Amino acid sequence: MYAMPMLLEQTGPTLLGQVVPMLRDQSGAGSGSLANGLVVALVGLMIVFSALIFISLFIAALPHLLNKLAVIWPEVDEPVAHHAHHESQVADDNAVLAAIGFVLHTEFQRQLDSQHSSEQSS
Amino acid sequence: MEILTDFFDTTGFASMQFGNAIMILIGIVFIVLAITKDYEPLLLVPIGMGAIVGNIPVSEGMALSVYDEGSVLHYLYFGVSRGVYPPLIFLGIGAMTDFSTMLSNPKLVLLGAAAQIGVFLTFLGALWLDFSPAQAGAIGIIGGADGPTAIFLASKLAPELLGPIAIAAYSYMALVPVIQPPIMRLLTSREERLIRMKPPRDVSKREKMIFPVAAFLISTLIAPGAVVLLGMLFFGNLLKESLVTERLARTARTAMIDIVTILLGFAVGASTQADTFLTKESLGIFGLGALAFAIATAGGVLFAKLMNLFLTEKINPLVGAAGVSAVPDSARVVQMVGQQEDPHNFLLMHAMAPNVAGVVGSAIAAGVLWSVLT
Repeated sequence: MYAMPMLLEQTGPTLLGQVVPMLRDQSGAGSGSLANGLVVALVGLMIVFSALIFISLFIAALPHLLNKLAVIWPEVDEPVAHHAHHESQVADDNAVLAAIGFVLHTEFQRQLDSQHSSEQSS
Repeated sequence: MEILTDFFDTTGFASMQFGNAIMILIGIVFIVLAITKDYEPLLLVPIGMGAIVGNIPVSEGMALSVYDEGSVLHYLYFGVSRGVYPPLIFLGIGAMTDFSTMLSNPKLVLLGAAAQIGVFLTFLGALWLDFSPAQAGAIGIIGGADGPTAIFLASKLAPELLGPIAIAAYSYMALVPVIQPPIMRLLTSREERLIRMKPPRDVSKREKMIFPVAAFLISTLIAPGAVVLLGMLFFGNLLKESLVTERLARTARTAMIDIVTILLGFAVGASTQADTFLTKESLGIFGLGALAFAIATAGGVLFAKLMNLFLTEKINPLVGAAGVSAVPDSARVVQMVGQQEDPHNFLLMHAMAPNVAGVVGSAIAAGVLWSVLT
């Protein structure tokens, strides 16, 4: 199937869905000609632009929406991660673990040495 | 003596074709380019080695190649032929992408859309060269400069062209620093290349958290065909930005994407067997791919110049070239070309905005073509 209208139908309740009948008449679905390809290319590009324009508009409006939202639900500096499930905060940084291991080993070694020296002196 | 002759007949030397030798040589060139020139080594090394492996001739009856049902390579290739790997790569890309620069300057998003003109013009060019509509769509997406997207769409629309399309897409991605600068210089004046842009504003955590869900809803309600690629991309980004799933985000952007890249690159390389790859069609695909890439770059730059006619705060038109979604290579090229004119002009952060918008744009374009042409 080689028809733009099919795609536009899939957009469902969007504005683009409304132009389906018009494109179906113009593109002659299934004929596979270069002219149909041109319709596909133009409408395809239009869909890409529409999606990114809407995203762009949303991004532009987002700070204003969040400012309004902040009145009833203020944004806190402290990340939610601090209250998150403990598994998401497990430190598995090898360097940190190695440093902790080194400190523990040194400490135990020091205790052992002092224990030995006190035993010898007694 | 007869035993020796029989043995020789079973070796690769006996059944080696000229085409196999050429493909092995191409595989070696890929590896050499990756090692000596640092051209996309994470892709070219697996693809190059895969091409060498895939072009060792095997005795008849031995199920070894990617096209032999039941072979190990066939199972690895399953993720390519059924479009499993690309969405997983998108998950990793989402988990490593910072959309802050795009959120701080939303008008740059349009440059990511403008670059997709390369996809649709190449689609027309392929139709004109008598490729079927489905094949033309799969070839056109090379202009998106996004390897996983090209593989995904080719696997859906024209699996018979998957090898050449994948190799063309990844080769041109690797050649971004070679292909883009001359086009960028040709289409811009020195004054335009010297334009400095305002530093991006700080973006709040809440904006970054809301964006992936909202952008997914907007883009896939308009182009539902992009639901798989964009779903994974924005899911990965949500893992990163939600701050509560850092472990998952880290896995997605490190171990997982690495594993999938290895499997994808190697399987694609192994699929380039001479008898299926060295054809007249492949040459056409490589030619059209280069054209697609050039048009996409030009489309982004020219659209930036068009926007400047209406904007008070001018955009450096070089930034438009980053609208192709080769992340982050094309943004780096923008930075490089910009600094050749003015070493104190830092365009990298600005270029990242159209660059990530290009990823979204090419996924939408792929969704559009998939929906229409199946």
